[in-house]
Amino acid sequence: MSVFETKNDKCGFHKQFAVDINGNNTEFVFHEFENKWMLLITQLGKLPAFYNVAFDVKRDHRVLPFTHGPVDDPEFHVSVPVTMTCCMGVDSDEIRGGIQFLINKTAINKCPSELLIALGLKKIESEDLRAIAKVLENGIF
Amino acid sequence: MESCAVLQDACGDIAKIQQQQTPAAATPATASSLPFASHMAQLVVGSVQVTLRVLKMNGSTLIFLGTTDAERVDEFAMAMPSRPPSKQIVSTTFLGESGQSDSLVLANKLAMRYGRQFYVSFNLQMDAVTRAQFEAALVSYMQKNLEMFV
Repeated sequence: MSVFETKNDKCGFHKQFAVDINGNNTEFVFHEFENKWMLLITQLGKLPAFYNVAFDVKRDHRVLPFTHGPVDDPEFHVSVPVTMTCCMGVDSDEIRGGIQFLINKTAINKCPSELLIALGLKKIESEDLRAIAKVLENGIF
Repeated sequence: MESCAVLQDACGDIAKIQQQQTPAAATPATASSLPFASHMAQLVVGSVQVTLRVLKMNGSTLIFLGTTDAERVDEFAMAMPSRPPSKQIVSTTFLGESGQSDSLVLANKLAMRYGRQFYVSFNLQMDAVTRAQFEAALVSYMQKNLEMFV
């Protein structure tokens, strides 16, 4: 005999909300699984592509200099080294650049394991990415 | 941006709340502006306890299935109906083992049954009997709570 029990019918993930980003309704979904973090960000109402991000160095050495946080000066900028694999959907340099930006600027780079991420933006512009990074910092991490 | 702190606390149907506050005639909802809806359920099939996480999007549904004590993502598959007049289902496994993974089989069945795109992550080790029981029970649960899936 099978028994079903609905434990929580409001939110199935650690975080799920929608925010207006420069006039576009943007959905955020975040969940920590045992072996992966999952982050979905989309303005399209669907998921255009999935990327799997593996971090190339140990967590404490990802952002240099670690004690002072990320370096924002373009001259001394150091990206968090990752290996990004497009699992499904359109693979574009713009999306890869957007994901790398979010990893550099937010606590995504503290992920202890791999990251499964979907980034579906109507236009990939620095203004939108900065706003999304701010939402991630305030609303998720 | 100031509303982020408020939004993170009220997890869930934020966009729906925003829509309710806005007169429908002034801003007709487009397909991409409809809010996502998610829910979680604990399913018990025999001695197996399963956690079901569902995200209903616009035209597609994402389902995670894992054991309650250790939720992992080892497999991920997607299936969707072809364009009419074809009635075939197009599917692929994009994380985990290639070929006929459990996620792929379940995604195919759901896409066929509901005529909708399904992402499925099936992370359970089951024998054939338990699996059949689980699938029957899952479909029964989905029928009872259809608005949460499609």
